[in-house]
Amino acid sequence: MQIEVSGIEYSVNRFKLGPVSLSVKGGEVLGIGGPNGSGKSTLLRIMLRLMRPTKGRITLDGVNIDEMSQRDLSRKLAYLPQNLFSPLNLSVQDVLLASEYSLDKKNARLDDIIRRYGIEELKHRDFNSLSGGEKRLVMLIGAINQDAGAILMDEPDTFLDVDKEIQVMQEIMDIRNSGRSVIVILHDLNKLASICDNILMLRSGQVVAYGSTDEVLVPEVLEKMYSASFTVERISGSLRVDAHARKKS
Amino acid sequence: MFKTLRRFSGIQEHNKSGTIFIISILALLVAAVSSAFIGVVYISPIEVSRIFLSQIPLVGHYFSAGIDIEHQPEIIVYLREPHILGAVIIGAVLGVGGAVIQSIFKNPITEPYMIGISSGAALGAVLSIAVGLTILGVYTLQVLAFIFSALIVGLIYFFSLRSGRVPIVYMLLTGIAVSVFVSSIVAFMLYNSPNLASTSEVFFWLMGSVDTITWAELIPVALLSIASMFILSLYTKELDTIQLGEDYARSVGVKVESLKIIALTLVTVSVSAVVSISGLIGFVGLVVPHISRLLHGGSNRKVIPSSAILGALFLVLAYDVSRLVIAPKVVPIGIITGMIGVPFFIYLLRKLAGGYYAD
Ligand SMILES: Nc1ncnc2c1ncn2[C@@H]1O[C@H](COP(=O)(O)OP(=O)(O)O)[C@@H](O)[C@H]1O
Ligand SMILES: [Mg+2]
Repeated sequence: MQIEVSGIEYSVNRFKLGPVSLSVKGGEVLGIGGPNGSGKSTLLRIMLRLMRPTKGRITLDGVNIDEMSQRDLSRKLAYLPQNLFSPLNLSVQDVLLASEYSLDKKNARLDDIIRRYGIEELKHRDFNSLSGGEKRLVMLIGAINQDAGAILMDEPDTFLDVDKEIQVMQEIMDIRNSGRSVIVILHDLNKLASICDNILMLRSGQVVAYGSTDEVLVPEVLEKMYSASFTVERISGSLRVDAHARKKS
Repeated sequence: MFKTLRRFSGIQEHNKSGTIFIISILALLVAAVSSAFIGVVYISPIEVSRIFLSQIPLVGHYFSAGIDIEHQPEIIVYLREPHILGAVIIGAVLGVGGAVIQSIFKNPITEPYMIGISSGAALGAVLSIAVGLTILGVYTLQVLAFIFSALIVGLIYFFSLRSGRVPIVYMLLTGIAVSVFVSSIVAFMLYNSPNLASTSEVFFWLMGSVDTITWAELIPVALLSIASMFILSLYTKELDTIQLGEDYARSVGVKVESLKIIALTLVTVSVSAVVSISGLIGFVGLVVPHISRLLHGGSNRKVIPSSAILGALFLVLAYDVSRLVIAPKVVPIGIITGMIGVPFFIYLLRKLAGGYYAD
């Protein structure tokens, strides 16, 4: 699926986002990085039509999202929010059922997917009683289960232990290899380096850099974003980014 | 008792849930039927059974032969039956309304009255008597209570509109504020006309009571209520999804604003309808959905039907208590639900604070 974002702008109180333009093809992972409060979540939510931009347009396979029904949009874009809370005690199974709301062939896949991720013992648990990492995993499974053309993930790596982190990163690569698109917000520069085809860097709502992973993950760009200093090296084909406290001069 | 409830809810197996449903339906049937045997006037159980059976179409006349005592059939058919069925319908509507409102507001401490239904209905009821309106015949109070209830909810909804959407926290706060305002007007009217407060009709209405319900008012209310509850039960998936947040619900394809309009309209129509004939019966809408969640887990697929059954059961039992506690006097049922409901709710809250609902 082809995602085109052109000239998106948005402002709330004193925060101004954009203009942001980007494009993502099927089988591509776009990473979004930047300091806290730089507008990453806001950008994702605008792309999901959860907020209206003041300017600009977003098209999916050439169709403007403003012209799509909620159902059609949910068939194109799945959302992994920063957090999910169930105030009225839905079980893990209920949460996963919610994720396939727009699917025609329901339930059939759910037990398969629960087995595939080895979360059978979580199935009947109260979603809120899960640990942070278990919640993230269930939410990711829900987003995959939604079976949309692209998945937009807001910091999917928070609270994950080492095993789950590897599992989630592997999952993102699998989604990519299946021809679907992923847009993922990540803080960890090395994770961005290892899974992204392209990266967009935001700071205070402004695009600092947008391009291929090799072009964006360079010390000159990173030092514009953060007040640390950086070294970037290539070890056996993959990038490795190190941050150090900047020397006072 | 709660230990048992929680053990059940912790396991959440399908067959366990099914067993609980069967038990609660049976309990409701037993409670409703046996309630007809209780009353101010003593009628022997055999007579009551005969009167019941005589109402069955086609074969009923075989049983009517033995009933000879004056007025007994009338007491059962025209008083006890509509009162008990009224309690069933009202309890079910308040239970379902509570489950739906709690889902939409994503808040376990809300109930249908909070969106302006109770204050609006009270305004209509008090107004009808204060102004002495009779344009709508003997049911002027009921009709005005219904209309004003719907009107105040509509007003609160439009006050809460923000560029085509109704932010739900905003609506909750607006609802509370407008309700206080409307209740002040009601209090002023009661204060200002001393004979109004003592009018037993208003008194009983404000206390909540099923003792004045007649077939003529019950039938339209029951039809509206059953239709509303049926349509609401078609939206259990959407109502589960919206519990996880409106943004998340949108992202999986739910038309959130239409869902809110449909669900709020159906809750308003059904709850206003039952309130118009019974007055303000509190705490059913708040407590019953929680008991349902403890028994069946959080999904509305089970919480909504369970709240209907348990709401009805709770109100039928409360009605029995209201007729027995200082017999031969009948206490307004709203007093009983408050007396049972409030301590129970405080107990529940302490349980919730103990981890079940903690985030
Ligand atoms: N509803 C809101 N009202 C006011 N300011 C907001 C709102 N939502 C986000 N912001 C502001 O917008 C900026 C970007 O937020 P966000 O997109 O969440 O950043 P990020 O995800 O990059 O950490 C922040 O400065 C935040 O304070
Ligand atoms: Mg964020």
